[in-house]
Amino acid sequence: MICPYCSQQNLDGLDYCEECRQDLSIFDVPTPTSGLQQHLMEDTVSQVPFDRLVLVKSSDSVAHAVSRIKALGIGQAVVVDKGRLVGILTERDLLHKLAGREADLRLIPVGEVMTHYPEAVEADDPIRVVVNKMAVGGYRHVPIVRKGQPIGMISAKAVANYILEHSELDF
Amino acid sequence: MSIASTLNELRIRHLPLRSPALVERHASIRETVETMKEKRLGCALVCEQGKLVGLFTERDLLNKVIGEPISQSDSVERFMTPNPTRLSLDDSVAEAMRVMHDGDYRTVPLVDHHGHAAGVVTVHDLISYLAEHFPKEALNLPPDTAQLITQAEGA
Repeated sequence: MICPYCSQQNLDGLDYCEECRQDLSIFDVPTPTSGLQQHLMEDTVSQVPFDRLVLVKSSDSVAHAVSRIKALGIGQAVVVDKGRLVGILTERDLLHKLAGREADLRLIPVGEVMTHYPEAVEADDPIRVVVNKMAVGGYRHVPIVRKGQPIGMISAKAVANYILEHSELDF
Repeated sequence: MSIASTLNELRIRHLPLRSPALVERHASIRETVETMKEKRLGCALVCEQGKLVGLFTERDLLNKVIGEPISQSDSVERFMTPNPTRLSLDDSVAEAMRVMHDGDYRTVPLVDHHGHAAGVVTVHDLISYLAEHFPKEALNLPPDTAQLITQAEGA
């Protein structure tokens, strides 16, 4: 982009002008051109319906976690030690780390199987932040935290449904 | 072109879909799970002579297999969803979104015009497509220095 202060031609995406070092990042914020783009940029994670939370400790057994997950009819648990998010236990973890093993689930701690320190979002982050994490990181569930404490879980399905309900598509 | 008309015109076959995990209906749960793990996919298409007859997903594994008194050599047929909702490779991406939205599905099997299993489309494929379609909004975010460890589920 061309620096508005000194007219230097800079590469797109640079935060500072290579010539005069003025801050260019303020000119690089995308402007929404459609309703859907506006929703992505301005709506917050808290506007998407959260999944219900199953909270377990990393020392709990996998059998305990699985029975609580099944009782709620969801697919994952959030792992919390001393009030802080330390992991999530998802169907994908169970598939890759447990399925096919002849093991007593009562003897395996959640901490051995869970995904440690997952990516998380804040409730007032824009939806584009969670779309980014899901698209780039390949995550299908992202915990929502407030000051490190989990308050919800957002799924790729919920994000997709929210986007579609606010798109120009006729549903 | 608006996002709505793009999604209505784009065919599912043009999404960057991964090759599916295919098993025969008499395959064991052990074999099915191994195939899913090898392909790093969350579902397997259950076929009979190439034709789609069922879908076995991670949710089926969680609800019907993990921690249950079953044998790993039991047939996948016992645990699959028989005759699942399916889409054609030539259906539009908008149609895939509608089917997932209305049926509350995360994964929809794809068939060719002979009814043969040809792939799956997942909600993650749709999120990735939307993110690529809105690169400035969804992909160009500043780095989050608070996050130090990243690991995909099940990695």
